[in-house]
Amino acid sequence: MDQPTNSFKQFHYGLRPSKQVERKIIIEVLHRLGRASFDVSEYTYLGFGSVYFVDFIMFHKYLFMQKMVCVEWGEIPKRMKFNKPFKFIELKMMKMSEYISRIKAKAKYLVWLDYDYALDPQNLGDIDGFITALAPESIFLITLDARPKLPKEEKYDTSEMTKEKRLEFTLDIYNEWFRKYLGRDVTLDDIDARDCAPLFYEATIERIKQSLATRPGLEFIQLFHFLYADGAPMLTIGGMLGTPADRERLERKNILSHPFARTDEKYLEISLPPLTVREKHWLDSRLDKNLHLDKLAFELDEEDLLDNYRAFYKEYPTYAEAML
Amino acid sequence: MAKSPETNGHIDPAKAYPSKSFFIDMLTQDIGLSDCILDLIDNSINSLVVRENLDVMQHLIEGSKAPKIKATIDITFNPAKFTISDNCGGISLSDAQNQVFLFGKPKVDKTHAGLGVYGIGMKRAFFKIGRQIDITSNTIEEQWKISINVDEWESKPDKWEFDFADHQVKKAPVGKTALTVARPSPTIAAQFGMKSFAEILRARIASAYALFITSGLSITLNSHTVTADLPELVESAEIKPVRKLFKEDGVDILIQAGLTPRSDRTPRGWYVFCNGRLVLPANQTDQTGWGLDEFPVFHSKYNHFYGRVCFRSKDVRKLPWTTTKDGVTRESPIYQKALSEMRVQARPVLDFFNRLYPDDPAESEQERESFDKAKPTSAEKAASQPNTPFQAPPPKPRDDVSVKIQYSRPKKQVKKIAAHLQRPNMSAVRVGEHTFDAFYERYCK
Repeated sequence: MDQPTNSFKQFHYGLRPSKQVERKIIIEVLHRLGRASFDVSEYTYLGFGSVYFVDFIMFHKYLFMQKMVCVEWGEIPKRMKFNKPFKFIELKMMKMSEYISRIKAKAKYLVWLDYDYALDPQNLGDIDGFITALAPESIFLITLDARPKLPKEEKYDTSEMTKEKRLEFTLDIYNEWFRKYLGRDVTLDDIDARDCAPLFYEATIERIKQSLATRPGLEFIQLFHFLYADGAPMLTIGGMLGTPADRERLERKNILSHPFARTDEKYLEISLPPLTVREKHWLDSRLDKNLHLDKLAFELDEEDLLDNYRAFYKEYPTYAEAML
Repeated sequence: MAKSPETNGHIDPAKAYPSKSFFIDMLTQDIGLSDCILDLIDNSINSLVVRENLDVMQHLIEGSKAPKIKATIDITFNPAKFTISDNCGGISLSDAQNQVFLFGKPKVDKTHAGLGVYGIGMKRAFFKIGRQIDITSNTIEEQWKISINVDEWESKPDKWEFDFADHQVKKAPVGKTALTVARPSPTIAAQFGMKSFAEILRARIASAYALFITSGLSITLNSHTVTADLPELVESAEIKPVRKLFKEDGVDILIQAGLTPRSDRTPRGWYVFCNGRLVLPANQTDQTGWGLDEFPVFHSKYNHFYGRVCFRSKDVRKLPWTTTKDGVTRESPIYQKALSEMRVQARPVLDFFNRLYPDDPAESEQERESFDKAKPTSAEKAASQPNTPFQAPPPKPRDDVSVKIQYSRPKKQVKKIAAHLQRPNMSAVRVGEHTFDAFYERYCK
C-alpha cells in the first residue's frame, strides 16, 4: 500500500448511519405535523420490512403509530413472521404493486417505498398507483438508488460492456422511460455523474403531477428531498397529498420551513463525519457557531464535515455492542 | 376604423344557419352503417328504460336480483328496405311533436339511466340509410304516423318540421314503434345484400346489448334471435377477479378484471360499458391505458386478460361515450379517474400473467396449475359480489418449485431399461423419472 489507510474516514456500511439520520429527520418533521393538527399516530404505516423492521420499530416508538402493514416480496415468509417485532403489524407477502389495489380509500397512510434500486417503470407504476389511491393528507415517501443502474434482468445486462457502451445503452433506455416525464431528451450529463438524483427527482415529481391530474383539488406538498450515501448514493423524496388549505396549514405552523424540510429541487445532503464516541462527546459539549476546525482537539479534514456535524448532531447515531 | 358609407354603420351579421344537407349528407359521413343501426336499437331500448325505469346495471352494483325484461326488437333488411320494430312502449304524440325529431336534445333527461344522449342518433341513422322514411308508433292510448320523403324535405330549406300523416286516439294493449327506411343509396343497398354485413351486425348486437339480452330482451335479426356474447371470468379458491365499485361526480363506476377461461381463444382486453351498453369491446389500445403511464403495451401474453368497466348515471351527459357510442371521450375527467383506477386494479392481474409466462417456462408451473384449476363464472355473477382485490396464489419459494428436465437418449437404451425393470411398456418419461429417482435414492438421500 503506497498510502496510509483512509478507511477510518468511512463508516461500516452495515451500520448505515446516514440511513438512521434520515429516519430520525423524517420522524422529527412528521412529529411537527401534529402542530398543524395532522395526527400521524393515527395513520397506517405501510412499508417494506426486511427482517430487521427498523422503520416499524422507530415509527411505533417515536411517532406512536399503531396501525402498520409490512409488504414483503422475498422468499422468506417464515423469517419475516418470526422477526415481526409487534403483534399488530400486518404482514403481507406480496408485491407492493399488488397491495396498492387493497389500499383503503378513506384511511390515511404513511407510505415509504424504500427501494434499493434505481427508478424504472416498475416503481414509476407504484408511484402512480399510490398517488392515485391514497386518501388526502396521506404521506408518501420514496427512496431510490440514485445511480443510473438498470434492473437486474437479462435484457438489461451491461456487465460485458465498456463504460462508454454501458452509458450509451442506459441513455437509450432512460430516454424510452423518462423522456415523456422530462419533456426533453435524457442526456449524457444527466447520467454521467456521481449520481443522477436530479433526473430521478424530475421524473418522479412529474409522474406524481400526472397522477394527480385526475384528482382535482389535490397537490403534492413536498416535505422531503434528501441525498445520502452510506455506500451507494440514495435519493429520498416525500410529501403530503393535500389541498391548498393543507399547504397553508403546514406553512403557518412553520413546517415547510423546518431546517430539514425541502420543498423544491434542492436536496438536503446527509453527510456525516465518522467520529469516535469520545470525539462526538467532545464536540457536543462545545458545539456552537463559533467552533472552527482550528479549535478542535483532533484533526478533521474539512470545515464542511464540521458543518454537517453541526446540522445533524442530534440525529447522529452512536453504536455500541451490547450483550442481549 | 372608418365606417363604410353604404352601410352607414350597420352591417348584417354573419349567417350561421344550419343547412339540411349538413344533417342529411354530412353528419352521416362520420358513422358506419352498423353503428347507425345500433343507434336505432338504443332508441328502442331507451323508451323501455324510460317506461319501465329499467336499469340493467342496478343488480351488478347492488348485488340484487337481475331485472326481467319482456320486450322484443325485430330488425329486418334487404337491399330495398330496412325495418326496425319494437314493443318497447311506443312514442306519445306529444313527445313526437316536441322532442323526438329535434336535431340535438335541448334538455337532458336526468332521471333515467338511459341510452339517449345527444338527440341525433335516430335522425342520423335514417338519413344514412335511405330517402323514404316511415315511422308509425302507438302507445296504449294513441297512434300516429310520419312519412318523410327526404328529397322533398330537403328542397324546402326553411321547413324544419315533419308532417304527421295520421293520428288517432285508439287503445292498444302494448306500445309499439316501427321505422321503415326505403330507397337506400346504392352503397347501403349493396351492404344490405351482403351476408358478411348481417354477420358483422349480429356480432355487434350480441356484444353491445349483451347485458340487456341476458336480462330477457329479445333482439332478432332477419328473424334469427341474437344471443348475448360476453367473455367469462375464471374463479377458484386461489384465483379471484377484482371487483371495485366507486362513485365519481354522481357516476357509479364498476371495475372488474381477471382471467378468461383457458378454453377462450379470443384475445380480450378492456370492455367499457355505459348504462349497460357496450361502447368499447376487447380494447387493447391506449384508449384504455395500454402503453400509457407505465401500463404495458398489450402483448399476446395478456390474451386472457379480461377487464370490464361499467359506468352508470342517470345524467347521461356525464358518461364518457362519444356521439357514435363506439368509443370513449378520453378527456372526460370521469373517464380519466376510471383509467387511473383501472391501472391500479389491473396491475396485479398483469403481474400474474408475467409470472405465468416467464423467460423460463419451468418457473411458472404453479401459476399454470392454478389457472387450469379455475372454473369459468359469469362476469355478472362476479360483479354482484362485494368489492375484492385480485387474488392469485403468491409465488412459492424457489426451493419447492419443480423444474422440467428434458433430454434425448437412444430409444434402444430406454427400452432396455424398461425391459430391465420388467415393464416393457413403460413410457420414456417414466423411464427418465425412474432413473432420476433411483440415482437420487442411492447417492443423494
